Amino acid sequence: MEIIFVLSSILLSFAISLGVGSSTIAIVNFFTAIADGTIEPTERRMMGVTYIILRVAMVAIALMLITQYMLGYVGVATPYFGTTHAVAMGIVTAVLYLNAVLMTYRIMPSTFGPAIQASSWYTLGTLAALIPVGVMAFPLSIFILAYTTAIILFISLINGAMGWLRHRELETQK
Amino acid sequence: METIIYDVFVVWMMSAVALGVGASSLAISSFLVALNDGTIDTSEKRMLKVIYWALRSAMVMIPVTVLVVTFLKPGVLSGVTFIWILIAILYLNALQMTFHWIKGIVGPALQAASWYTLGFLLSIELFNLAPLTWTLFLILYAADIVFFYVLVKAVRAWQKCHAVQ
Repeated sequence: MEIIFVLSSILLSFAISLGVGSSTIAIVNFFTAIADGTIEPTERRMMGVTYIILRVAMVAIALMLITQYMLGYVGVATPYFGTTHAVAMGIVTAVLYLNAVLMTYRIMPSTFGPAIQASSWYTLGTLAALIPVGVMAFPLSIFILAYTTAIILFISLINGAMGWLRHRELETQK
Repeated sequence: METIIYDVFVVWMMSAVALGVGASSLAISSFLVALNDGTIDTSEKRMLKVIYWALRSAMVMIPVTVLVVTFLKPGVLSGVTFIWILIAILYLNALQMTFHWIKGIVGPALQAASWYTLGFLLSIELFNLAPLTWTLFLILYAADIVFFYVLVKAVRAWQKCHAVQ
């Protein structure tokens, strides 16, 4: 049981790293591709690779988290599962999945979808980084506030960048 | 104050490794996708440049953060020797690839394997999951190198086979 917990922890941390790094590239690649106003088929193909890797990371995270919650249920590393950190990890992962599904079916508008996804990845990365520094017990309200702030920040950043690119494109056409 | 700086640098170090792991996965897979038709065109080159830029940023951030973390709390990273070995290999291999001193697929495979080993080692180290030994390091690194070499070789062979058909 302990070995499964250790292995799943290593894979979980690694999958989060993979997701955080890939989501950074996904955003920068998207801006690079859209800079000239259109996304060419070649650029779309290259961006497709990023989305596949993001999905791999998401599946790995869900599998490892489910494994860990099940181990917690049977009594392995139980003190951790009583912390807000464990609850926060579950919340962010659920948002990642829900938002991905909503974006796939075009229910989530593009103004919010990518920003929610990026902020969720970074929040998950920050949560993982809090474990080695020993910050695992914090009020859930503080976490919700921080997460909401991250989402608002990313909505502003991504839409600001998009607006600036559109403005630049219009200036070029004049 | 020192504790806050230490905590910030630990988070920063983990973020840098996350960026490196993600970017290296994308670098190798995008490189293979771009090579699918035999050539890397301008759009593909532009997209690959973004990934290489991210990789370089991570490569600069990691030694800086590792230095600060080990300076603030000496002995906190028990596997610091392995981390420096991997950083050295990452730099050396990047130079070899830039100046085309290393054969086609060996360079990218070694680079991806080094990033993945660094990612795994830091996860084990920072979460205190297992004692870091030379045996564990060598087995992990060898497994990563073999995995990436075989993967890249297999994908290239498959691409060549489809191109011939």
